[in-house]
Amino acid sequence: MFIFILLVLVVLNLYNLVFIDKRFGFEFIVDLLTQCVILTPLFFMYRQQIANTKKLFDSEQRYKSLFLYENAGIYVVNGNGLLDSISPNLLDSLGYSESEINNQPFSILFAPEDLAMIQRTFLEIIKGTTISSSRKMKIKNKSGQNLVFDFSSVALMVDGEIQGVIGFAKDITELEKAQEKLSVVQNQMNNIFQSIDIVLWSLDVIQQKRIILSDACEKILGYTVEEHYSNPNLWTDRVHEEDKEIVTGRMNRVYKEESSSYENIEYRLVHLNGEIRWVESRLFPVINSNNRLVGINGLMIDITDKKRIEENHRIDLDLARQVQKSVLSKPIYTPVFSIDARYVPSQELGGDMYAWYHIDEHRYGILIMDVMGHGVSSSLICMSIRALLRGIIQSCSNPEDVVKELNDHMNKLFSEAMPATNFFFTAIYLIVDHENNCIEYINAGHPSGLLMDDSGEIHILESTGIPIGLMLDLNVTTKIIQLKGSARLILYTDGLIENPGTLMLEQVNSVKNIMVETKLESMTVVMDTLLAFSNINKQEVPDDICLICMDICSEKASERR
Amino acid sequence: MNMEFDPVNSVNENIQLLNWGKDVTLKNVDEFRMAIWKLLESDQSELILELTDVAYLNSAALGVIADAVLSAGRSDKELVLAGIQSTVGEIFQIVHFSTFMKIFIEVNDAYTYFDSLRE
Repeated sequence: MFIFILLVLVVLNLYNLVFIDKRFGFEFIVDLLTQCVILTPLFFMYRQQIANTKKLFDSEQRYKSLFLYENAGIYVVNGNGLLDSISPNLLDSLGYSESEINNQPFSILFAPEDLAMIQRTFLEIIKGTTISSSRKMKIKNKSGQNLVFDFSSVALMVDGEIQGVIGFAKDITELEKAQEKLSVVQNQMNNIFQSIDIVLWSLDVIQQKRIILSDACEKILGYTVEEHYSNPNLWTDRVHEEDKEIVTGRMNRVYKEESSSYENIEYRLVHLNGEIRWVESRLFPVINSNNRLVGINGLMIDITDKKRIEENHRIDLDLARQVQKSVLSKPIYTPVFSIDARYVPSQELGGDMYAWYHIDEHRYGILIMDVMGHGVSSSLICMSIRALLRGIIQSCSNPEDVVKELNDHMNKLFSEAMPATNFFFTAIYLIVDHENNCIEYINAGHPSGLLMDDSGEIHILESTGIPIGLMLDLNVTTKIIQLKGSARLILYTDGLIENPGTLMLEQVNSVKNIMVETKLESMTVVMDTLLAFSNINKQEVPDDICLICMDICSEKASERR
Repeated sequence: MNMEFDPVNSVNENIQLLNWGKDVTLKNVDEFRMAIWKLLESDQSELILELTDVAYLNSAALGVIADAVLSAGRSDKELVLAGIQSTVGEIFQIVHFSTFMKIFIEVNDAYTYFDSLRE
């Protein structure tokens, strides 16, 4: 409006000057001066109006911005510390009505322990020494429930004077609870991370930088985490010389992204104090959305104790094997009777065993057995039978009695001691009788023995009954083979002919062929050839093998010679 | 536990069948033992161990089977063998297991046997 008036006056003065007065006279100058006197206050009023409009606009913007703060309530406290007004949403949160809260001192909302600090802040704002204050505070709602609010307060200016405090308050109770829970979980995770004996680590493959390493590494190697960070090659440097290739080889495969690289490996580390530590290492790839390896997470477990136990276990097993081997009968070589054997133990303790005794002047008793199981229990059963065997064989006159004695022993000793468990073994017990020139035998569920006579004909000592220990009553019948000259006899356990998928008959035929082919060879050659044959079909975890070879010559034939 | 092989258990009304489909050697005999124990623990009293795809059992496996048959008997259950291949049949012949357990060449024969018991 002021600009318009000014323009109209300018136009009118110009018109007057050009068309009416037609000269720049005294009256015209007086008119101009009069107009200037009138316009000057108008100009100042115009400037004041512009300034006020701008202030109002700014104030409006600030007011609007308060409402942009989501879910925040607004409050106004007057200079006396009384609540002047509170926005409806803040009233809802606090549980009060407007009439209940208005003109109440703001201090009623806060815990006594916080009051001094809040009042100090309020006074600082009122005095103008503090422009604004922002802090997290606990307040109680009407029902006594503790809430957490984020308060932001500024001075309320009216006519350039501080009249009170205005601010907004946002309810962050749920957020606080969530953060508290998160903090607890984080603390627990940190505690676990710091206290477990497992080394956890993470490597940024792109930057070739280790980003996580747990404290347990100090237990394993003796170096602190900081030392590992300052020397990224420290771990690799401490790998045992003999295992370096395994470790570096795997990392190379990781970078080539070979799937096999994520298989667990076990290797040795050299501790700061020189001790050897065994660790089991596992890797987990971190692949990004472009299917690219960007990181590797890993864990390492100290398995030194486990390795020691395994080593002790291995030593125990070796010792048990030696003990088991030591009770096996020694070879006999006489003009009329020779007997020798081979025992090839499995990785675990086995249940195979053989033994022979001189019963009297003309007779030998021979037993081969295979406990139907494996491990320590089978081995102990073997040893138990072995302890009884001499007495049984030398006191019983025929094979039936021996086998029945053994059956009773198995049923009474093991079944009574452990009724829910069954122990049994297959066996061939035979007596070589030089006086009557025959062999008497019982085959209790055992792979057939093979007897080759002078002519090369092979007689099969077939199974005639169930394994020993399986039933209380064992019906067995002794079979007799009359010898017509010298003979060679082979007894073995199933480990010798183990060849999955092949008929046992075929395997036995192979054994028979070897017997024929080596007829003129010594027993040592026969047994070595048979073991070599057995090795062809060896399984990944081979069963144990017992193999007995006997050369029987009649006493009469021997005398003739 | 070897995860390469998962014995298939199937139930036919009153009968629980375990189909073991792998040779049993020293390497996996403990796994075989576990599977058999699980079979024995089933609610059914009529149990079939199917060995159609088995061509070899070592002596330890024979021990497990004999033990299972006897244990089943003590629990008023019956375990029978079925699907016996010639190679395995030969082994059972040696140990004379047929004297104290039912052994069937075909699996259906085992089902028929149990059906006949119920009639």
